[in-house]
Amino acid sequence: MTGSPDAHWSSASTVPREARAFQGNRAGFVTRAIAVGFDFTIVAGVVLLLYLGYTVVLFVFNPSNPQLPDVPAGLVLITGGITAHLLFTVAWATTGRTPGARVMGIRVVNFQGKVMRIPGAALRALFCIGFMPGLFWVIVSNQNRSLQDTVMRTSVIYDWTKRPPEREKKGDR
Amino acid sequence: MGAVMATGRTVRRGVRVAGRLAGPVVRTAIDPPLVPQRWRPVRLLEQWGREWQAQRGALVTSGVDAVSTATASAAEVVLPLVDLTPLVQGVLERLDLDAVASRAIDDLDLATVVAQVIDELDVGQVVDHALSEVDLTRLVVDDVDLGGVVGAALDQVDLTEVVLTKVDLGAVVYAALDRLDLTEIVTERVDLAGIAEQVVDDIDLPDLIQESTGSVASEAVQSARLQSVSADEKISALADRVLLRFGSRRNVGSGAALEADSTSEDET
Repeated sequence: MTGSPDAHWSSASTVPREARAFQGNRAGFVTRAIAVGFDFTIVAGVVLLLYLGYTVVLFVFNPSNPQLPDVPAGLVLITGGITAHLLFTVAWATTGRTPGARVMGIRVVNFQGKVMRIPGAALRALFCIGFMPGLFWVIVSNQNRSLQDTVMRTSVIYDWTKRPPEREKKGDR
Repeated sequence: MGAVMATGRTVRRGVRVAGRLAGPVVRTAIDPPLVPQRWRPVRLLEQWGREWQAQRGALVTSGVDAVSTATASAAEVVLPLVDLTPLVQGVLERLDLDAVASRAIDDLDLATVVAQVIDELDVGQVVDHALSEVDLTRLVVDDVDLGGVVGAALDQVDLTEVVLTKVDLGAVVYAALDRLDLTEIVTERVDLAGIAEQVVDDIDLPDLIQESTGSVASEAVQSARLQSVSADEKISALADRVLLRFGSRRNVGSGAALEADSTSEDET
């Protein structure tokens, strides 16, 4: 999302005309919350699949007593957290968008408008998962920034194109 | 000078006195009393006067003719004997030509003179003759600042307006197109392959195809996205109102906004 985004969106763009005006603007709370909800649904699905896999493994080793194993809530949370962290880190460091962000047409970029590098993405993912209420700061912020965005100097922008933005290279900062 | 004037006065006075003395004598002599009317000399004088009056015109004309003839003859005889050049030069040296010319110009009604000249001249013939003698093209090219003339003319003329009103542009274009083989020109001069390549690069064809094939699903997604954007704006507006914030949010712009924002954040 660097360079001349206006030219990028105006020339033979696949972005609908009514959506071109706000492309590149920082996204608001509702869009981001829906995207996060999507992502956590996926994470929940992954955790459920892991649980089912665990159950199948137990059944294979002990077929005489088929039952759903009890799993501590803490373990579920940790598994979910790790899954979410992996998902967010990989997504933000590659295309800048998680599955939920892809559906909602938003993208995470750094202060240069470029895709984040892995360490930054990992740190932001940790911050987002560890303090989810930080998202509500978007409502209050004059710049549509969450607490994590403010601290990490990142932005979540509307970007309906499928072309990934420029990646940050070493020495850019 | 004084003596001359005094002499003149004396002569005048003498003539007046002589006139006064001689007047009655002369009158008596030409019109004597006691002499029959027809014999009086005054009758003879009157007859001569009438004859002179009747023949004066013819006599003057013949006199002028005689003088002209004599003058021409005299000129023919005299002019070869006289070297006129130093004579004219001497005259010219003594004349104040400027004064003469300015006096002549003052006295002449130049407009009338010029009009008369033009009436009497065959202007067309004069111009034709002049043009045949002069290489007008060379004269203009050598002596005229054509750039300046054209520039000044163009400054005063709205060429676009003139062309639009006076020229049948459609006819011109059609005539030009009739003479041209547009296809051949384009094929020869335009790098069609390069343009095609550039267009394909610009429109990102694979991306376009990919996006346009997801029709139904993408329409639903687009609708959801637009609604969520609308909701974003409403939530932001509500929050701004609650926080008594009346300016618009600084979320406008994309790359440029982010870059500007990064600058401000770096500074803070």
